[in-house]
Amino acid sequence: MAERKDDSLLELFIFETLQNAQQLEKIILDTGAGDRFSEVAINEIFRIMHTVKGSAAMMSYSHISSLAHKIEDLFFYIRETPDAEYDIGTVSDFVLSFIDFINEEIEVIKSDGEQDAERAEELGKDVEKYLSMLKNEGQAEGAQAVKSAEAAKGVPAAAESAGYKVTLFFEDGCGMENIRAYAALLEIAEYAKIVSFIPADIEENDRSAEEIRKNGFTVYFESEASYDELQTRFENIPLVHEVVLTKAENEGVALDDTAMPAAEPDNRVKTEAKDQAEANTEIVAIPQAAEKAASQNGSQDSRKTEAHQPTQSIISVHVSKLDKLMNLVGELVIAESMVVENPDLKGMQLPSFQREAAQLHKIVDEIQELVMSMRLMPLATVFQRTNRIVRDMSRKLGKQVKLKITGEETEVDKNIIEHLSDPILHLVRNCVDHGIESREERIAAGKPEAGTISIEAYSAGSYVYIIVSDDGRGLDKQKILEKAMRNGLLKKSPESMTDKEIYNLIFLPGFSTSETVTEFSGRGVGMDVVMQSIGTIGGNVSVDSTPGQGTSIMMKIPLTVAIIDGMNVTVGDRLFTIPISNIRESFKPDLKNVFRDPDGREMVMVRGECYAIVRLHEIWGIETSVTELSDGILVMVEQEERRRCIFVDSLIGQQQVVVKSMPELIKRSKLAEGFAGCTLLGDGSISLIFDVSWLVSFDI
Amino acid sequence: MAELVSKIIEQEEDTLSGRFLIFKVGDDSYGIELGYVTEIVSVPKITKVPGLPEYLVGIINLRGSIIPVMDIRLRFNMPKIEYNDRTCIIITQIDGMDVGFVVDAVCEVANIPAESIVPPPETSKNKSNFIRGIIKSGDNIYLLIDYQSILKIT
Repeated sequence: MAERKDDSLLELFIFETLQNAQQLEKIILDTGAGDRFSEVAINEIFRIMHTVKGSAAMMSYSHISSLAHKIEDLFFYIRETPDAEYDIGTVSDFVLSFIDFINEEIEVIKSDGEQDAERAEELGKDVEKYLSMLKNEGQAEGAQAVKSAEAAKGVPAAAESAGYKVTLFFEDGCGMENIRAYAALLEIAEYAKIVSFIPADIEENDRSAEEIRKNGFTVYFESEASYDELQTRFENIPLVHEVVLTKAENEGVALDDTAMPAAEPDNRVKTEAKDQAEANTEIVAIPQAAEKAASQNGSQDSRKTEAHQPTQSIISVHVSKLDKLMNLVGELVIAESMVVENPDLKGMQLPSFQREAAQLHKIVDEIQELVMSMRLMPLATVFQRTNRIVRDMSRKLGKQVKLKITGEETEVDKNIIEHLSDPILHLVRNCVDHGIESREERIAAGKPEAGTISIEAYSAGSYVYIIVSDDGRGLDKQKILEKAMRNGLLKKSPESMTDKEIYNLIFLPGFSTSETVTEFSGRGVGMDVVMQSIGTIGGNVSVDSTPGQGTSIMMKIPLTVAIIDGMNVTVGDRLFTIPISNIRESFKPDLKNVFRDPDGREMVMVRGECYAIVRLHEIWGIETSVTELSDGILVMVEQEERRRCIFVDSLIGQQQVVVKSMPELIKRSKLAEGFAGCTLLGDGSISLIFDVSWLVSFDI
Repeated sequence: MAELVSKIIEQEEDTLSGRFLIFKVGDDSYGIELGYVTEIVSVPKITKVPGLPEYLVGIINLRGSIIPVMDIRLRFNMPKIEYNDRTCIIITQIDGMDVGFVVDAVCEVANIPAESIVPPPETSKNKSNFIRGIIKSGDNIYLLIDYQSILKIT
């Protein structure tokens, strides 16, 4: 069974392990500043290590499990020896490199590559060495104390091997009980000699899962470990809900009994009966959750722990299913309007139909909203990764940096999250590397020694705003201008530019203000990558800075890219959609304000500002009867502070549209540049969605 | 036509080799590997996309999927004709891309052994670009479409 790496099992393993690694990272980084791990943190780390070890062993990734085992040992020691003098930095480093190792290893597993057992071994040795060092120190310093403590606990210093019987009950509905049992068995085998187990056929027989669910999984074994120690170990087996541990006092009898083949039902009954009669029955059955809750003192702590517990009210669903569901709902929305607005029904008096149609509309609306909300994920997953970057970089660069995160619970669509991760990490890297000054500089400037980077997120309307700011040296206007001039990026004379315009030059492709290339940032890719990434999800970026006080970069991102508010317009017999978020205003131009510049480009003056006019029917050769500005309408569109007025025949109306991307063939041809995508309208016809960033920037 | 479509769909992937969908454009008959064909539809409303060459006549809505449509006539520089009852769009999936081809008419599915396919003569440089081979089947001659060049859009 362990050899067979079922796809769904593997996927589950990857998912669980990555989640655990993330959790682990959070704990380590949260602890960061203190000089000791809190009890809660130790227990949690211990639990995670245990789970990772168990599931890796189940998937027979032995190097991951053995490394996890070593770190688990380390934390076992830390937990059991409250006065151990460990260095939190070193221990944290161990755990963090373990996390890195896992992340890389998972990538390897995904791509079926060669596993790096050597690195695991190396790291494992380091951990072992450190642990033995800790142990030696501990013994030298407090051997007496430990001894007396042991005596008080009544734990014999060297326990003799004794026979035990344990019955494990797994959590309701955890599924695949036989596999869980097998994993548990492998684990028990690490510290005990397995004599037999019931049901015996867990490896071959899938139906044994049913039996385990009903009667539990019983193992007879011999071990030198103490009763308490075993009890704790069993309780820590992943997904174990209840543990019944019995110690056979008379070793000989226990051995005799359990030596019988457990698979024979007759014998099994006998065994159990005898066991009950002869063994000193020390039955402990504490439901784990209850015990855990009881051991938590502060209410907040217990809440925190409970949040980590896998609860059956949450299931994980594959993203592809959600994508499919959303597509289907998009179809449903269209199909609904195709039925309700069917041309066959025009002019008919159908009061009852209308009523039912309204009801249908309400339900479809609700489904759509629900599906969209299902795809929302908190930004916390992205923000958490910045913690690590700040920690690593500030250590390496010798800067003190505090990271302040607010609004991490803000939710955005999963598609968008994927595009946000890199830009945010890049911005944070920039802040630490270039923004925050060295300690000496900060002290000289009368600033607090430690710099602060804050990441803030909030939603307003259908947008999410993310602001990354630092209290560093701010942007250097002069340097930016020089650099822009050198690279030929300057289009206006520097005197006529506002501060904001100058700062925003840093987003242009090929711009990087850092003089020296460092390990962390300034590798030629710069802010333009941030701009591009955010641009592809329909957002935009702006920067503001005060010299000596810091820089703040604001990203404005739509909540979802899948459905937008659009304005439908016509040009001739063609139908187009303009994203509402790009429309500033629409108006009938006063011909007195329209003129042509020396190059013959048509311009319109609005409230003292001059805008170029884009005649769509001309640039795309569409036949239309509306060619006079006074017959049609001008729509002022804006993207990244650039504005133009586009000339259309008429506005049809505003509606929510489901954005579909252009077919691959057309995207590859790169000939239909003016369009960001297309959408289906109520009657099944297609409307093309303008790419406003192209409309405002192409050469007229 | 529905019969033809269901016949196509029923076939297993490996039994599709050697089977060609034969269609007419102008006076000539052409063949396309059946494995690429997903369905055949009559011409729905086509939405024009500005900026594309004339032979890429636009995009259609096929049950919610947006599919680009190429007019084979125009692609081969033949004169344009009005679409009629016999005009069809052959929906194909090639290299993961969905493309529809407008053809004058769809004729039949033919079994053609590999040895009946011969490379095109290298006489004229321009037209044979779109042809990968020539199929002789009984008294009929079919031209085998070359997707690589037909889908190369400039």
